[in-house]
Amino acid sequence: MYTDNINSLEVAPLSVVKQAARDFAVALAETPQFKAFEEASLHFYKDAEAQQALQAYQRKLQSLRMMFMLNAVSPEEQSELERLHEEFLAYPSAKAYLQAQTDLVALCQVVGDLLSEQIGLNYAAACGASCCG
Amino acid sequence: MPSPVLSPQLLETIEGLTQNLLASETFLHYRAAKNRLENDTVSQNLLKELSRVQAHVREAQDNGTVRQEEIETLRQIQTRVQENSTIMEYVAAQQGAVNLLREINDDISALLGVNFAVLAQKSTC
Repeated sequence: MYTDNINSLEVAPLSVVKQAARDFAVALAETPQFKAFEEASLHFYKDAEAQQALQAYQRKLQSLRMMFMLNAVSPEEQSELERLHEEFLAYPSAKAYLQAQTDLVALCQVVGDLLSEQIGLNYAAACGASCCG
Repeated sequence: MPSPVLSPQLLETIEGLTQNLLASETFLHYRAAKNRLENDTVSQNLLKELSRVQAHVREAQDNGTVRQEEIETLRQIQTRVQENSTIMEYVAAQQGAVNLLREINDDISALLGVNFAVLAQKSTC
């Protein structure tokens, strides 16, 4: 009987699973990649000029979204968007933030792959994560 | 870019998390349901038939050549799948495992201040 099989095994209570998850989160927060990301985020969000440059780029991108879908962005608009993007990336705080984010994502992907492999389910997909927002 | 090296401390907590997840009632239930489904030839054949007919109807719809009897066949197979206890128990058990992972991810993400699953997601765009 299936229930008997489960009862004969050592079952981890939810509280124990959740404690293991917290231990994991603490260990991840202690990695150089996470610490660098936190520090870079703090500097980036405090840099008002970099924030303005980001907003200007995002506003332009948003205004062209429909035109991109129609594949109808003019070369001038494309150049303007690229200029705003380069202007944003020229801020050291923005550059450092994006690099730290890239490094943290690389670490989390390795961890996520390991988790998925061991539990037999795609962790990120199961949690409804999407790179498409 | 070289793959990041995981510290022994981080590896130890990943191991702890996976071992406890696998020993949770939810995952024991899920793995038992998965085993039953994998060893049930009737259910496996039914799922293969569903997949084959779905693909055929989709293609026929795209070509504008789908017939009413093909749609009826698909509905009948879908009903048989819904009446198959092995398949439905597997579906419910998998949803339970997914719900637990989401709950765990919420806890991890709350501690980190960022959504861990989003960071762990491989880009498919």
